[in-house]
Amino acid sequence: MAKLELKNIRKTYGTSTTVLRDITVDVDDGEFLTFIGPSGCGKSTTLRLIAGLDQPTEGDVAIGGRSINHLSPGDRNIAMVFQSYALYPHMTVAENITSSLRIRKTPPAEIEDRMKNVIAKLDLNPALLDRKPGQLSGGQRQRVAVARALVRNPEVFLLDEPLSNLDALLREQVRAELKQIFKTQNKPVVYVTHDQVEAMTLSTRIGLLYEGVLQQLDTPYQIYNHPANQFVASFMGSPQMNLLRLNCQGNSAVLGDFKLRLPDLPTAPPDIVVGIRPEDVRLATADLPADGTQTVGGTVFLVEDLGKEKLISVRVAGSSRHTLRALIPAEQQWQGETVSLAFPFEAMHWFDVETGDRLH
Amino acid sequence: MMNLESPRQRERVTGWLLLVPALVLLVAVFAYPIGRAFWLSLFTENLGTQLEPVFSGLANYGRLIGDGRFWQSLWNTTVFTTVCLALELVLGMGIALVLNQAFFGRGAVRTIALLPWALPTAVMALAWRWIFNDQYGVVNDILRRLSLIGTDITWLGDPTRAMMALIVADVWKTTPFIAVILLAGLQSISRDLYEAHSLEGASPLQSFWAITLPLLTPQIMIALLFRFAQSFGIFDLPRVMTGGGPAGATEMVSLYIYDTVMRYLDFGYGSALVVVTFLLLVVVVAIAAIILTRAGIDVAGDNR
Amino acid sequence: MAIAQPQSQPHDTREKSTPSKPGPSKQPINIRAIVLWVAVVLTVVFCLAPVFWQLLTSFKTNDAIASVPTVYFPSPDQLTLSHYTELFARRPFLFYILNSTFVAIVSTLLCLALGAPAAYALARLPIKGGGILLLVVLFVTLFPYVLLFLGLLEVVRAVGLANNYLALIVPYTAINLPLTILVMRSFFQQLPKDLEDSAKMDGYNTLQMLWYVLLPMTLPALVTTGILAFIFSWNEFIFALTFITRDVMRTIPVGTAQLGSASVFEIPYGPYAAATVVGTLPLVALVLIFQRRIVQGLTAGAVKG
Repeated sequence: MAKLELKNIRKTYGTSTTVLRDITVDVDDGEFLTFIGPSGCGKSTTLRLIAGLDQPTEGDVAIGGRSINHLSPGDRNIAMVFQSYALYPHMTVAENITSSLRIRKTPPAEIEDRMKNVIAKLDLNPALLDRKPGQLSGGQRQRVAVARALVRNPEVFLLDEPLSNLDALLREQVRAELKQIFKTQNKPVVYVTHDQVEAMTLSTRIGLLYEGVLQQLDTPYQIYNHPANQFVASFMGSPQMNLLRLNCQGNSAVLGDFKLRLPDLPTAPPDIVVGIRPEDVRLATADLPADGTQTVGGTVFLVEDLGKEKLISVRVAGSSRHTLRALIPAEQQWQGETVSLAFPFEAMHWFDVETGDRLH
Repeated sequence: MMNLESPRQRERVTGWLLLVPALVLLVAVFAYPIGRAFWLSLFTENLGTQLEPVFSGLANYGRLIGDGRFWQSLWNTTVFTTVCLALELVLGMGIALVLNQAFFGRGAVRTIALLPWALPTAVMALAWRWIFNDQYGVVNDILRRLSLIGTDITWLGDPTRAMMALIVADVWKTTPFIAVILLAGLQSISRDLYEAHSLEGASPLQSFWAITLPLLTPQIMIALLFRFAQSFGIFDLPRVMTGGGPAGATEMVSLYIYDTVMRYLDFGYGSALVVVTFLLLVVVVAIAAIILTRAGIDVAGDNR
Repeated sequence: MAIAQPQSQPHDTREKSTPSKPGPSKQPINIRAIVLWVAVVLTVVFCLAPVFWQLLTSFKTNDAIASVPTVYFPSPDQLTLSHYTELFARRPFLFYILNSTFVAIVSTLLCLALGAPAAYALARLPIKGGGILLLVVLFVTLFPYVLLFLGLLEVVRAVGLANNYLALIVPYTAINLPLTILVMRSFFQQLPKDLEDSAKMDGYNTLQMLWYVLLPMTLPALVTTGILAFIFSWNEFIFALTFITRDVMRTIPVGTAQLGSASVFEIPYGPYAAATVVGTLPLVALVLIFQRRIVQGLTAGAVKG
């Protein structure tokens, strides 16, 4: 039972730069938590604070209920896989994998044992053990880096963009492997990435960081389907969610010539932001149920062919500044330049104009 | 007390532990002698006082002002330094430009060009003494064969020519250093700049003035600063080649200091000479540092 | 950092073949190539002539040395090895070599042992005033040794180190420290920081990290600075002249410079030349083998960025 806790973590550099503001997160055994966000959001700093490579300005890092703030990185029993893998170039693969055990004076027999275990688990070719990292391929190096973390049998695993140096083909395969490996470890895993597919596929929970603030901490499903605010909504999902700022009239929002029904709100604001994912938007056809469906007409001004699908950009009729993008099946056709788009009421996400917070 | 709880504090302590041995040695070998010279320069300590230090205030400095031999040595040093630096800069630039070209055997030539720098000055000073020998020296022989001179020239026995010989030897010995520094600078200049410039219709000479020289300023300044310091304190070359002669014509400040201490056993006055030389050096370095900072050159290389 | 480039580049063949093109070509590249080759030849002659002259002199008989006009191509009976044999038979020249070697090697190793950790501290560890320290170190590299010998002489006498190798080893270690610190620091800064973080997480403390991870990786830099320190120690003159007075304990530069005083010849130029050759041979070898490293170290120590 070794829960990793971050309590009210704040990190500032000097007097002016605040990297993290009041981060509080728990990661349980067997949980796979991913921090995601644009560069400079503080996700790597968070990882370094957990590792002990940086010190928080305020707040506590705790494992199993005990604060580890005063412990140096080597005493925390945390293993980390670095983006660059950080393999020691002058040591062989075997030496790299066992370096942490050797420095802790683990009995040689046990070292041997644990290394064999890890090699088997990772399907590493034993012939590689005597090579130097420079003689390995990128994928092999990545595996050695993971082996080095696993062999320690630590209380917490940290992974800092471990897939970003692999080519696209390999990345998907390794991603799946990583998920399987860490599932069996039953330890808290904290993962940092800027790739939303990785975050979605690997994680039990995702923490979305922006400007040092934890925007939302939730399951991939919730993050995608119930983004807590406009930033989360725009950051997760590709192609990006349509976000339109609209005027309100009564209990509808005005989009060009069309009216969108507002959800139940305590008070109707004068302005509101609506978010609609392009994949939720369809071409309106006769067989669509009229009930629960919103339709909007407009002019197609751009078609981007993605092969499997087409991404069409539509200028909404009656509005000069509002456009909607829709992801439609590649084989679907339409006549002329004007189309009618349809999306379900539930697909609309509503956000506050000022705060960006979700309104319903 | 220091808080050893925090890893950062621990790193700080380790850092100082790693630094201290080196710092102690640097202080002992550099700071202490200079500090000691400042202190000792306020005393008279020579054969007249049975080598016992007797406080005499600024008397040593007063003596220095009226000491013609000191001023002569300072003048000699200045002439030597100025001419050497000028010649070395021009020659070093030439060699660097040559070594920056692509030609067959460039690696070998670069190695050869480094050779003079690496050889012991004191030993090569002997070689140069032989080369400038009055009777059998190869310089006189070549000049004779070229019919430039009829009779042998006295090189090291003539005040002006001894200085010239000394300068030639120093230029030979230290030009490679400047060339190496300048070559590194040349290699850091992007070829694109020259190509763009030549597309604008510039000749190679124009490119040299418009691109090479301005972009090479940091290296030039730093090479000159290093060379100034070395040249200003030059000891082994004149000591072995001319011994400061003839008649003190090539006596540098360093030789005068050495003689004052080791031959006349005048420790107090020798200290005053050390102090004055040190302060002169500090002034020049300070001026150079200001110029370098103005030019935005980071000497310590903090930002890459 | 890549200073010396591979000798054989595609350009080379083109440049080389240009001057030998047949027929009168009006292309400016031809003039350029001629100028270049003249410059190359002049450079080589300028750098090598004095060395070769000593080499030639060292093998000439005394008669040939003292003949006017000068003999450039000695006949077989004008050649001799006697200057070399005299050097080793009548003078403790072998001792000079051993002394120089011992002092230079020990002080170089000491310098690396003290300088590399200090350089690491200045490169990576949170040292207050590290920037100022670095400037001081840089300033110290400019010190002429003549400013130091007086104060050190007092210490050497007070501690009774005169005619002791330590009287040279300690100052030599110190005078090479600034350059070592500057060069090593710039190398440490170039190492990826991830490796240090990884080592910390593996449980290495700072000293273990230096010893097991960083120093093996900076081996090339250690070699570079070591060579420079060795050269400077081998060539040092004023301390060796002042602190060592026993003939058999002298180093090469002082021993060679003072050969004349006890020689049977009035002007012992033959032995001088032989001594020059023997005394510079190790350095010539170092330059031939390590030219690139030396250049790298010199430029890293003087100019960075």
